[in-house]
Amino acid sequence: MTRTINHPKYRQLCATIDDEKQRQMIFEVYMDLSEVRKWHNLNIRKLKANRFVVTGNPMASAAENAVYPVSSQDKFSLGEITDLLSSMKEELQSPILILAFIDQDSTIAYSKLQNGLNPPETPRQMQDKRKWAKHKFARRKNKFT
Amino acid sequence: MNKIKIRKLDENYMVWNASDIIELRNKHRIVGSLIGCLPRIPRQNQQLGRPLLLLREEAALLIKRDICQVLKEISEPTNPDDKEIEEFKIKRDQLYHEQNILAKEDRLKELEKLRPRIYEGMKRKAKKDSNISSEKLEENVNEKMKNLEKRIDNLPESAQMLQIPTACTRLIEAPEEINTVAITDKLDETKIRVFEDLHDRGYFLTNGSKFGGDFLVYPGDPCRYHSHYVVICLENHAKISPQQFSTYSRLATIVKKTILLSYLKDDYTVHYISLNWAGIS
Amino acid sequence: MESANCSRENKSLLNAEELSTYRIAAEKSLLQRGGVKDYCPVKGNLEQESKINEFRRKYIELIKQERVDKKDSLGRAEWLDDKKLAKQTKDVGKYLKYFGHNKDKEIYFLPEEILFLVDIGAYELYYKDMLLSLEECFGILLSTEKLSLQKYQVYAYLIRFGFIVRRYQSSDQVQAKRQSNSSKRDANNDESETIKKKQRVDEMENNDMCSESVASTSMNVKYCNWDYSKIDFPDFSKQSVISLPEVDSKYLPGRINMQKREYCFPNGLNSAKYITDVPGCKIIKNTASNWKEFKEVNNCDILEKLQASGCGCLWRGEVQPLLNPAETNTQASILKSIKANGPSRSLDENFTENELILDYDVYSPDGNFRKSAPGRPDLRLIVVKQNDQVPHINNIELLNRKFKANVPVYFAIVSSGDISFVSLITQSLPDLC
Repeated sequence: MTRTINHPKYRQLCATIDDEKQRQMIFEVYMDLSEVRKWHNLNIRKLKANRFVVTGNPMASAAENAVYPVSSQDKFSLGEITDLLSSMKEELQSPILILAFIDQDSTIAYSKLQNGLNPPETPRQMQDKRKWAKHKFARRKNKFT
Repeated sequence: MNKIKIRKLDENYMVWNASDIIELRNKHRIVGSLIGCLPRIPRQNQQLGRPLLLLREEAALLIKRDICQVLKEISEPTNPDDKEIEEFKIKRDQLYHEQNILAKEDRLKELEKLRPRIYEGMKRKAKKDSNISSEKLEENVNEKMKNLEKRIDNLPESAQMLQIPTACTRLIEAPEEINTVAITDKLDETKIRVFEDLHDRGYFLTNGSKFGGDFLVYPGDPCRYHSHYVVICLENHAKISPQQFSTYSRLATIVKKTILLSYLKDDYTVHYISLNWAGIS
Repeated sequence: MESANCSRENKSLLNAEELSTYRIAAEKSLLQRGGVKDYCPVKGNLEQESKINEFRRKYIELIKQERVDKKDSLGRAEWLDDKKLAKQTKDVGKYLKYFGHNKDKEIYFLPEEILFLVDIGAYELYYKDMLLSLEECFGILLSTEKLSLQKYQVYAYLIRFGFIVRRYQSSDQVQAKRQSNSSKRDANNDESETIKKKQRVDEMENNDMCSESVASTSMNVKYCNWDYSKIDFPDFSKQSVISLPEVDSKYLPGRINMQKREYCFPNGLNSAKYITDVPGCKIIKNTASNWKEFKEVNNCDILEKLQASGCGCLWRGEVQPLLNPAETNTQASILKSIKANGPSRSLDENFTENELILDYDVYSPDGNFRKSAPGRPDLRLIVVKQNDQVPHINNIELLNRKFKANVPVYFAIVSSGDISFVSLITQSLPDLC
């Protein structure tokens, strides 16, 4: 905990996010995306109703994604999620929202949600993604060896 | 116009006529599932035959749209009257008689194919005995053919083909007055409404139990296309835990489909939330 | 309306020409399943369209198939509505190996059996001289007690795969049946002969199920043609010197050591009552008829000696050591006997839910199945609907206790046309040491 508090990013967050629990969750998602998932152009954005999301690109060429952290202790009804998605849709200019469920031991599980029907990826999209993942893996491997 | 006939058995709805089943699939995008043995290759499970068992939601839609009529349940045998039994026997006799004629015609055709060979054979014989003219030869062949034709037997009674009708041919009585399938609870109603809504959007829907959901949604005939969605119906106020979300995401990833969480809003309109793999493992 | 009904009615009955086409064996190509499917329809894609049309053409062909067979090869049965059974009136032999049961020299079929036989187009079912269509059969037969569409779906599904499926019989029922069978035979035979005879009879019934005279012919079966008066057995009784060969030590319990010996009996073997003085062989005074008994008796001996010894007081009181030396042969046996508590298998006392009822016994198609003595099934089934509640843990526990896991019990979950099999077994964790 002391290490977290001393982290420069966390200190920076203290100035923008008042609620401690929210600050902590945003910080954890931010660190996971930047250090483990290696996302690009990470940002923290403030939305209406004092909500904060982490935005970024999973790969340099991909569109921007917004990640909204919630505690994995909380439960949601479908109605609540619909409201959350529709209230964020305008501000994010994208119907897609990624929910990050943060466990007490800072394990994070991500789910991609959207109101309405969102068909699965086409075989073409899936192939491209696989290619990119391979490429990324190879680059990372080179870095370490 | 004839309506499609559905026979009820407990809370199961079945379609028995072949033309009805084909019309359901090609015209109404109703797939159902075949549950009988395939008559000509009965001992396998890869492809089954009539009857077609409908999903409750399919039956509900067909009833609501007035596409079908629901026939009364047959739960005990009906006593046949003497006239009916007599008619059945006459019909069978008649079919045997007709089959006999057809079988004889077939034998005749086969025999006719042999004519050139018989002719050749007799010609060869005639060469040894050179006195026979070609007219005489022709005559001999015709006589021989006639003899052979006389020897064609009747089709043995035991060799006649009999049919066990699949669809009922007797009890076509007035349909039962059914306005809807029995709805047990809110979730049941949700499923029926969700099915209807997605069906109206032009999709094909089938049972989704093999994927842990309520329905599978296909963009076209399931014989040709992969399903896009696994529909899971929930009540709108039921709380879902994050673990549940993870379960659904993992399922979506592994089957390469979108999970469609569906519920009825308070104003009874259908709402969907798509859940995909986030691409972040 | 009247005429419209008629046109539909006639469609399901074939005419003579159509019937004749069934004389030729069926084309074995089924609908092509799987293969490469597309992601979604593309307008104007001719390949997709032609493939769908091809599928539809075949689908129509398959759906329109009717159940047609030569009169010769069609069996016949009559539905007895009061007994809720079908009585066979014409036999075609081959189906009786797995279907039907004998009673008073008649063969009867259970509702699901006759329904399946009609479904595969093997039997015609009549009710009061009127042929029943498959649709009527479904309605009438599945409305009988203990049967439902879901149960029939599972039943037919497994038989189509080649399994042999019978209604569930508890072991009490099986035993009762067996006893009544053997007592019937006892009336005419020696008790000792009954067992051998029974086996023969079973075989007879198996080979020859359709002959009605099974019961009478089985009584005349010769079970043994050995003439013991002509078989030469060695006779030691009059010899005075007997030489015993050395016995391989692996056939003897540990502490007995036997060497090749010659024994003299001046008055013949008959006079020697007990061989108690055989040198080199320590005879244990207790007698035992098998090794298990022998070991038990031996353990008792050890215990007796122990109690007589200095530490015998340990075993005299009410509280005794968990272990005694007689039981401590292996590490595993020590661990087993000092285990204070096993896995918790308690049942809720206030449990009121109905007990689960088993539906079917399933036998694998290995050719050893006999209707008269089905033996232990390979698995048992409970058919449940998709919307049914998951069974209570107490019910599962009761089930496991009842069958001690020697025959697995599966749940067949029927969801519309889909059937999945699930098993719920209480597992005890393995000992890690």
